[in-house]
Amino acid sequence: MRRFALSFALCLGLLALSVWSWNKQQSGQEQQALAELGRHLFYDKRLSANNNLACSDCHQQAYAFADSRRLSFNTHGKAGRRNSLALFNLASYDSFTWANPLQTELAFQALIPLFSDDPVEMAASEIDVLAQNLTLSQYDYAPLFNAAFGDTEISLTRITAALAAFQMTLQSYNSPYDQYLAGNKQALSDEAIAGMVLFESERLGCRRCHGGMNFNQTLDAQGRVQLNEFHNTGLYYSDMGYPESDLGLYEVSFEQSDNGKFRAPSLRNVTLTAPYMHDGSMAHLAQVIGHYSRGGSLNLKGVQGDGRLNPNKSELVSGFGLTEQEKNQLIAFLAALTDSKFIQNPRFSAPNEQANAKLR
Amino acid sequence: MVTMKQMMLVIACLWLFGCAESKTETVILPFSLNFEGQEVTCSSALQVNALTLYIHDLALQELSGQWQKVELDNALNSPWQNESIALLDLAPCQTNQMGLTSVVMKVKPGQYRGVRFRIGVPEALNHQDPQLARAPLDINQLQWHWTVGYKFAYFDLAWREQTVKHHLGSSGCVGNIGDDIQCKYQNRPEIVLPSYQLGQPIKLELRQFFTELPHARCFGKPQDKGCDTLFNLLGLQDAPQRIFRLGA
Repeated sequence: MRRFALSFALCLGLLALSVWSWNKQQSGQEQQALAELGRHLFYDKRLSANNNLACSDCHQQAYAFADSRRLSFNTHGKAGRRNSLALFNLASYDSFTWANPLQTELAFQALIPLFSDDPVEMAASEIDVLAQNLTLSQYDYAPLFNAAFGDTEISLTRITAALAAFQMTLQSYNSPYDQYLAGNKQALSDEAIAGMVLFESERLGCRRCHGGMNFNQTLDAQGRVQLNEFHNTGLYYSDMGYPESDLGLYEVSFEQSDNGKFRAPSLRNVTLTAPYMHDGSMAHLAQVIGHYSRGGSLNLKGVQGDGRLNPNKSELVSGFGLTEQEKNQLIAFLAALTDSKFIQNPRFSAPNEQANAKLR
Repeated sequence: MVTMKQMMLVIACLWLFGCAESKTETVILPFSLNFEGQEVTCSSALQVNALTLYIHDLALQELSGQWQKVELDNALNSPWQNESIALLDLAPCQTNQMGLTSVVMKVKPGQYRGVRFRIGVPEALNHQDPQLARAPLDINQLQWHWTVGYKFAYFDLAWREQTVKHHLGSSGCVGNIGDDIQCKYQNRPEIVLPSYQLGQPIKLELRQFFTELPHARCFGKPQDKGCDTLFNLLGLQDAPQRIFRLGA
């Protein structure tokens, strides 16, 4: 009797396990189908008013999903006011965009580039027109929606969920630095190792704002991770304070002390994401290091004034001395954060129209 | 089997219900635009590219001074309103109307001496997931995604060489989507118009939006130069509002 009960329980357990793993596999497949739909949408110019601008135009794989321009352009060819942020390892962020702690959900955030009118970005149509427009795309969406949702209905919630799912697949953890940490001591040059030591040093203090695995977390004095941290790094301080074209976090929070605060982005793939800063005001890493070494910028972009004196400037940006050799070492280390496999991974590239045609 | 008694009960219920219904009458509250006292039309010197308002919390004041909450009638099943909130689109001669030019109020018969309403989307609905919102809150153009709210009022006007572009909504907000979001500035002006009589229209006088600023803008950012005028005109600062008045 006891043996029977035991084997019965075992059977039941196995059954539960197989149902669980089947479910897991099933939901894994659904997630994959959702991301695959999202990849097509991400590369589809038909999401924009003039059918000329896809997410992928301002977030290009070759630049770690930033776009190499100082400012990005909208569907009408007009420049915006901010530098495109790179997209990878997005789970490590508490909020998205340069300075908006309200944007805690990737799916919701997608509504901003799609529909914003200040500034105008993609200027997408209301969903009925948009859905109609997608039927004229080079991609065949019916099987993609079907695979992800079980039917072919195109809704805004589905579009943004798919875009979010695709962006969450953008994982980049295969830089020489990662290989070095994993035990391959050949992965970093001596120069890069010297740069790493400088980067980690108290003297430079880079880690205060670029902490954690993704170099985007602020650590407090006890080394604890602080959530949603934004910093004024002393880029500007004119008679007007910060240039009014972009006041960063202050625009969302209406707290005077947030004037000129922006997020600390990840430093992974940083050699690919030039130009730098929220307004793309710095073309080279050497200029960025110079800025932090001085503890603020003087007359940046022709804006008269010394950002070092900005009263909102973070106390963590206090400046440090650095020799030319050390600067090169630091740059060598930052270059070793580049994941060249990531920018070549075909899973993240523009979907092949022909491969898609075969699906039909 | 349905007995006679049950039948009687049903009939009585219907009769009572019908009677309760007939206790209110429907009264139209029309809105329109004025410029320097003249009705704005397609050929006016003032060009209205867009002008939309969300309104809610409509109430009428009885002669006793008591305010009576008024429900909106939606017998026509308009996509621009529900029982509690309506979207007005007051731009003349449009091809794509995005709202109503009047609302239908369910009014208890009687005499009234005032009308009031609030511009904006009620707090309870303002931070919902707009992708799940029902009409009239399901319009992307009026969702203010970067603040996780709505554009309560939307003005896009041009006159001579001057332009006026305003988005009014709650600002200075903190919190998480789907959770609790709190805003420092609610920006839901209450418009109170005394000596209202049933049937009277409401006029918006727009001339005052044009000040010395050639391009007045208030897009909800602290540095926007046009906000002071907008807030002042709508009565969000110390003085009462100066835009809405009763017509003949």
